[in-house]
Order: sequence, then structure tokens, then C-alpha cells
Amino acid sequence: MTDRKSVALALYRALGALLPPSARQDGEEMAQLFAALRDDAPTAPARWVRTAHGLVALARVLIVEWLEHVGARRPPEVIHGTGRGGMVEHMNSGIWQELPRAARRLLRRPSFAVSSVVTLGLGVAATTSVFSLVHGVVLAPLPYPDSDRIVEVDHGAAGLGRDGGLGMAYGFFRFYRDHLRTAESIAMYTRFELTLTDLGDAVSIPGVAATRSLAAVLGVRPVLGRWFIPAEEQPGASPVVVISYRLWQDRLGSDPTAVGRTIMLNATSHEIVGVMPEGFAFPDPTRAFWLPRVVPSTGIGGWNDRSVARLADGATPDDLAREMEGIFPVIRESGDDPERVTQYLDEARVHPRVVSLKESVVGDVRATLWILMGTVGVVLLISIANVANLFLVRMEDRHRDTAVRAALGAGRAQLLAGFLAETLLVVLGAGVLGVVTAKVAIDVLRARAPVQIPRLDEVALNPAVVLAALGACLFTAVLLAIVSAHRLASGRSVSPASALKEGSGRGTASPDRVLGRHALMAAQVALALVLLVGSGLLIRTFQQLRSVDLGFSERGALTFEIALPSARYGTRAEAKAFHDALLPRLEALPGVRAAAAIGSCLPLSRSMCWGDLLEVEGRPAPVEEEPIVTGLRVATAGYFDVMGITVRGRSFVPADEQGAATAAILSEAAANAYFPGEDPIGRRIRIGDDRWHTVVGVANDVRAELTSDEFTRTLYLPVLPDGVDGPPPSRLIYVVAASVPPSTLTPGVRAALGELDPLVPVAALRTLQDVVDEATAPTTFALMLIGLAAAIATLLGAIGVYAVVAYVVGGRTREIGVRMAMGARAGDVQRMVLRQGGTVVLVGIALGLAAAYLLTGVMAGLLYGVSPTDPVSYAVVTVLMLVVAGLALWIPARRAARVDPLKALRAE
Amino acid sequence: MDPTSHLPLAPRDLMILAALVERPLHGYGLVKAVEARSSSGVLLDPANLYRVLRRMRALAWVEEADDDEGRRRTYRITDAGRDVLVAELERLERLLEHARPALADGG
Repeated sequence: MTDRKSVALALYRALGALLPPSARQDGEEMAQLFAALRDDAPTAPARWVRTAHGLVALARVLIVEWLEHVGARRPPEVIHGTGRGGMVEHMNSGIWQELPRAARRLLRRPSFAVSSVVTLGLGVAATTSVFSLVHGVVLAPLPYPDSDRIVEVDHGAAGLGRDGGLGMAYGFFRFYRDHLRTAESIAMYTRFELTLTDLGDAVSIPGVAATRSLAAVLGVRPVLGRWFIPAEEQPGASPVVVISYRLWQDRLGSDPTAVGRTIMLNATSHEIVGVMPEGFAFPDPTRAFWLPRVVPSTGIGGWNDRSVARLADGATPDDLAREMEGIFPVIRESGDDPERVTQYLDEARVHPRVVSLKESVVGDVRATLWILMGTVGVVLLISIANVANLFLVRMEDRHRDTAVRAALGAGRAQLLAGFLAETLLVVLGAGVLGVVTAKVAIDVLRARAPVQIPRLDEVALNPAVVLAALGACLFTAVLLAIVSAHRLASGRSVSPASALKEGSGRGTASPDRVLGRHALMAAQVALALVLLVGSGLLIRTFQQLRSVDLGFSERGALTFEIALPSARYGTRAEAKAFHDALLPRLEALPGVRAAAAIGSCLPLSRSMCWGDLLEVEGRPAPVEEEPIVTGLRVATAGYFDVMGITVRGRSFVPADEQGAATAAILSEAAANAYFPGEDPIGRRIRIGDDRWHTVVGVANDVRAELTSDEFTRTLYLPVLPDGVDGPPPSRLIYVVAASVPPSTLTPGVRAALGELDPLVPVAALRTLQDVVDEATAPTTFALMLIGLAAAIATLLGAIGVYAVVAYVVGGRTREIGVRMAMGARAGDVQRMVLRQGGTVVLVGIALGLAAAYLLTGVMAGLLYGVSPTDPVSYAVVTVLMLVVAGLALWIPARRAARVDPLKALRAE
Repeated sequence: MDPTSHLPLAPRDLMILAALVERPLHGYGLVKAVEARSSSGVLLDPANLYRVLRRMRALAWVEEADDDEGRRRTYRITDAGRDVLVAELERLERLLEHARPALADGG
């Protein structure tokens, strides 16, 4: 207690020491006073509150005292009356007294205050929310200790035309683990789905099998229990699992005795040995389990895993890559699976690729996010320009007021305090509005952003960002206030005497002020136009994406994944029997037209999925050229029909799924690759195993990537009960086409499954339309954001134009009255206003188009099928802007035309 | 100096002078005294207190006194201050004289 009191007292004293000389003598007294008031508080929390109050009060005192000290050359303060008085009350007061007066002044003309606060607030909100996004995703380091030393260990295969993305083979991993020195630890992991059965409904949950070294690489440790021990990494060890925090909360009710409990995963009992900390999301936030990955002690294996490592002190990713290449000879000489090693190192020409983990996680989206940042930066600029313009105009209005004050001796500091108070209030209001809106916006962004944006769970309203935004506003405010006060007090304006003589008219504004106003208006229009062009281009991109021929025509079918646990479905025959039993049940559901299945990927899967090298009968396997990798699928008979994929020749029939006859269907791209200029139907091919297949049909290409035709070479085989070197039937994706809404099928599907095996869950339940939407999601997202920014920018631009023109027209009432009295007609007046405003707007549009032409090249990475200088977009946007700006000009112009000349001339 | 030239007094100044008329007080004491006698909830803002006291010293309405214990500065009302206070109270009394009958008639 005494400690805290003396701390508070020390703080107060420190602030007191900062007082200007005239007030410093009171510093100690004030500190004592606040300390005593603080002690009065009855409870500890109340004392905290009082301490805070005391600090704030002392800060206020500091500001006030210093302001007075600065304006010290003035008559001693007059004790003013109870506030009803006239001019005297405006004199000689510090900023804190100015604030309520400034508030009253602002509220007298609410349109100014409201439009300033809203425009600046929108700018702040947009900037803050997007910057929070950019900060959380791109700038912030990964949430692991020393995260810049964590790298992804990947491989490319020059012989297959791949720069990277191969991953890790367990044989290579073994050698790396035993020999590497530039990495202090290296880990290997693979993702898969596990079926959890004994905690609520059977459900398929994503998990990871990882080597024990993963904890060392990432530098994390479970918050309950422990990570794996070496014994658990050996083959035949009793099954253990580490679970995620969220799983522990949701399904185990945060049970403190969870460690040691067992759960059923994939029909096997696993003991929980640890719970990971909240927020641990490696490799992605959906993972809820970590199991030990047993690394076989011999053999090389396929490229089915991924790997991360922690660099040794002072080592760089390039050092690691070089050391890895240096280990290749060791692998060769080991004599382990020499055929594979040769195939990898000599034919496929595998090479290491090491990048920082953050880069590999974030790399793709960085460009998009910076473009977004640029976009909202523009919005902020527009809102600042808007507010600046409003202030400039308002300054003219207060011309007389401040001239009088200047005449009565108010020094520059005085005027500064007045303006500062007004701008402070506006900025404060904008800041609060901006932060609140940003918080909401960030929550919406996180909920509706596409999954492809990594680290989204780390995005939050960043206090640093909020402070930065508010700081920017404050800086603008101070700048505006200083400029305003300086221009008025320095006598560049009309002298106080003539200002007083003019009465209520605003007089003629000085030319450079008018130019400033017009320049700002033009700038707003230009900036808004740039954003509109950007959104226009994105809209066109979106249209183009939607019209891409994906190769399959069915959209309404329901799809879901079935993964059979290997413990109960050990052989291919057992798995096939399950599927043979399931299909008719699905087709028997009411409203179902047909059902089919494919292993292992649907269209738009963005990868080869399961690929291998094809051999054509009668031709030697090519050695010099790059061997062509073909995607491999197993498909049931009705698949092409259900999906709406056209097949030349014939599709599969049920008979093809019996062992003897072996039909195969090639995709168009594969047919062109292997049989250029010939008809492949009737020819024989082989993939991996020793069984020859006959090509019976050629299917339309189906897109794996939305915007390119990569990965369209595909070989389809029937689902066979015995060994084909391809995707096993224990994992199939079902497609069910129906004439009823897909959601009504779900209970029936679950029931059908339940009849066969209640412990097999349904995963990834969605429609084909959902699959397509997910592929267009990144563009949709970017479009949503940039489009919103453009809409805000246009709105702000329109408000800006309107507000300024309306204000100025309002001030020129007398001049208009004079003109009309001298014979001008309403139409003439209207045309005059339109012409003057219109010129500025046209200049703004021209500037905006030029700027857009130069800048949209930056967006090229986001566009598809549309050039950054697409004339249609530019034309449409220009017309739109003309309409909007025209409206913003026309409304005040009409009001100008309706001025009653008699009233205008009489008014004083 | 004509005390009425400073009228009407701001409520804050009135309270401070009224509190000091009873006995000299230091800062904390002043705050508490005003709090104690204020039924309408008008309280002293401690942040402004010392500025106001400085101003009153410049006008010679209060002066510093030595505390008995010599630790903190105490403020004491001066004759001039007393005069101003009296003038203000008289002004308020006259106001009430006029206002009360008006209220009684109007009902």
C-alpha cells in the first residue's frame, strides 16, 4: 500500500516538475493534493481510478499552463462573469476552456461537424482495419520464439518442371536428421484426417502426424502434460496423442485431468499425453491432433510429407540448402532403395528449396494485401482532403469573427487555441467513430474472409494501429489548425477593419485560398476515380472467372468425403465392398438422380492430387525429355455422367470394376500429350503396376486451377479391388445429383452411412457450387474490399464536392442577389455555378484517369482476362463519376438559382 | 479598489473565499471544505485549484500563510478578499429580495 502511494506521489511530482516557471512553485503542492485525494478512496480499485484521474488532471494542467505561458504577453486575466457575457469571455483562456466553446460553435453548424467527423472517421476506419489485417498477416512475426530462424524445408524437381512443393521423403529426412549441422533441429510432418468416435458424434477432425523434433523446431511446449518422448516414435509403440486447446475446451470440457485419459481415434485407443497452448495452430488452425510420426529406419519413400527446421545460429536458408545437396552423395552411397534414389536424383533431378516459414505461409497473399493497403491509403487521403477543404471554407466563414478577435488584441496563440480546440474535437470524434467501425469491420473480415488468407486468426484490432491512425489524425488536425491560424493572423487576409465593414457577407475570398479549395476538390475526384477504376477492373475479372469453362456442368450436386479407418478396412477389397454397398443406398434416397464417387480429388483441387508417370505400350519410356506426370483418379461408373463431363468413346460400366477387364479413360490434355495427332482409344497404357489398361474413352479436361490449365492431364481408372498403384478406395469423394435441394439429402446420407458403419463420419459436406465459390473466393474477397473502398471514396468525394459548393454558394448569396437584380436569370445563375464547379470536376476526372492508367499496372496480379487499361471499365467509371459529381454540383446550383434577390440584398 | 467591479463572482471563487473566511486552509483542506458545505454538488476541480489561487493572490484577495507545522503552504483570506466576498453576498441577497416576492405572487 505504501509502495503504491509513493509511486503515485512520485509520478505526480514528476509531472509537476514539467510545469512552466510561472507555475512550478505549485508543483509539489499539487502532487501532495492529488496524492491525498487518492488516499481518500475507500477501496483499492477506487484508488487506481483516482490515480488515473490525478494523472489526467495533471496532464491537463500542464497543457493549460504551458499555453498560458506561451501567450503570456497579454493583460492579466479578467475574472469573467457566469458566461453570458459578450466578447470578453472569449479572451485570454487556455485550451481547456476553449473546448466547450468550440463544441458550441461546431454544433451551431452541425453539417460541417458531422461531415468532417464522418469522412475522417471512415478514412480512419478503413485504414485501421486493413492495416490490422496487413499487420497480422504479413508484418507480425510468426508466434514462435525466434521465428525468423524457422524455415520450411522443401524440394523441387527440375526434371518434372517443378520449382518446389514436392515436400519431404522420409528416407531423405532420415539422412538430413543424422547429418545436418546448419540446422539445429529438423522435423517432418504430414496432415491427415482422423475419426474421433467416443466424445460426442463420430466426426472427422484434421490432425497432424509429426516427428518428435517438431516441438524443438517451433520452440513450443504443451501447456498441460508433455510432448512425445523418444519411445513413442518407435514402430509398435502404444498410441499417444497431443490435442489442441480448442479440442480440450470443446470436447473435454477443459478437464484438468485430461492428460492420461484415452480417446478413440480411427477406432484405436489413444492416450492423451499433452494439451497444446491456446492459439497454437501448426500447420494451420484447423488441426486438433498431433500424433507421433514414425520414421521408417530403411527405405526412401515418396514425397508425401512436409518438413520444417530451425536454423543453427548464424546459418542462412541458403547454407542449409547447400548442405542438403551435399548430403545427396551420402544418400546414394548408402545403397538404400537405389532405384528410387536414381529416379529422384537423376531423372526428376530433385533439389532442395529452403525458405523462411513465414515466407512460405504468407508469400502468396502479400502482394494482394499491400494493394489493399494502398487502396485504403487512398481513401484516407481523400478523407483528409475532404476535411481540409471543409476547414478552409469554414475559415473564410469565421473570417470576421477572428478578425474581431485579432483587433481586440488576441495573440496568435489565442487564435491557435481556438482552432486547435475545434480540430481536436473533430479529430477525436473521427477517431472514436473510426476505431469502433474498425473493430466491427475486423470482426466481419475475419468471419467472411476466404480460408486461403493465412494467419487470419492472428488478426486483431492492433492498439499500435489505432494509435497510429489517431496520431495521423492529430497530426493533420494540428497542421490544419496552424495553417488556418497562421493565415488569418499573419494579415494575409483582408484587414480586420474592412472585415468588420463588410457585415455578414463573406466577401471575396483571396485567390490563393480559392485555388487551394479547387485543387483539393479536384484531388478528391481524381483519387475516387482511381479507386473506381480498380473496382471496375475487378468486377470484370470476376465476370471472366465466372465464365471460365471448368469442364463439368453439374453445380447443384452434394459432395462429401469418406475416409475408411485402415484398422477395420485393411485391404482394398474390404474398402471396395463398403463402397459397393453404399452407392445403391445413396441412389435409393428420395429425389436422387444418380450417385458416383471419385478418388481422391474433385475439380478445382489446385494440385495434381495423386500423380504418376504413364507408360504407353509399344513405346520406350522417354529418358531425355521431361517425363510427363499425369494425375490419377479412380472413378465409379456413373461419375462422368453425374458431374456432367462429356466423354468421347465410352464411359465406365460396372463390369469394368471387376478384376479382369481393365478400362481406362484419359483426359483431353493427357490424350494430346501422349498421343499427339492420334486417337488413343484402343491403345494400351500402364501406370506404375504391371497391369496394362486399354483406353476406352477421352474425357473433357477438368480444371484443377481456376485460371490456368495446369494439372489437367488426368487418367481415370475404375475402382478396383486389388492393387493398382494409385489412390486406394478407402478414401473416396461422393457426388450425389438430385432434383431436390442438396441440404434435404444430408440426413438421408448420414442414415445410409449409419446403416453400414456408424463409426465412419462424413467430411467436407458441400455442394459443387460451394467448390466453385471457394475457388473464386480470393477474387471475391479482394473485390469486396476494394469495391467497398471505392464506394466509400466516391461517397466521400461526392460529399466533399457538395459540401464545398453548397457552402460557397451559401456565402455568395449577396453576390447572386446583385446579379439577379441586374438582370441575370435563374438559369444563368445555375449555369454559372455549374460551370465553375464543373471545370474543377472535369479536371479531377482527367487527372484521375491519367493516374489510374499509370497505377493499375500494380493490380495486374489480381486480374484475369482483363487488361489493366481495359477501355470498357474506364469508360463506365468516367460516366459514373460524371453523374455523381454532376448531382453533387446540381443540388446547390439549383438552390443558387432560387435565391430571392430582394432578400439577398437586404440581408446583412 | 472597488470590490463591486469584480462582481458577479464565479461560483468557484465564491466558494473558495467563503471557505477561507472561516479559517486558513491548504489545498487539500480547501477541496474538502468545499465538498462538505456544497449541497448542490458543485465541487472544486483540483486541477484548476492552484491556478485560481494564484490569480486570487495576484488580485490580493488571498495570501500565503505559514502553516503551524511549516510543511504545506496555507492560504488565508485578506481584507480585500473579505470585502469582495461581502459585496457578492450582498448582491445575492438583493437578488433574492427581488426574486422571492415575484415567485410568491406568480405562484
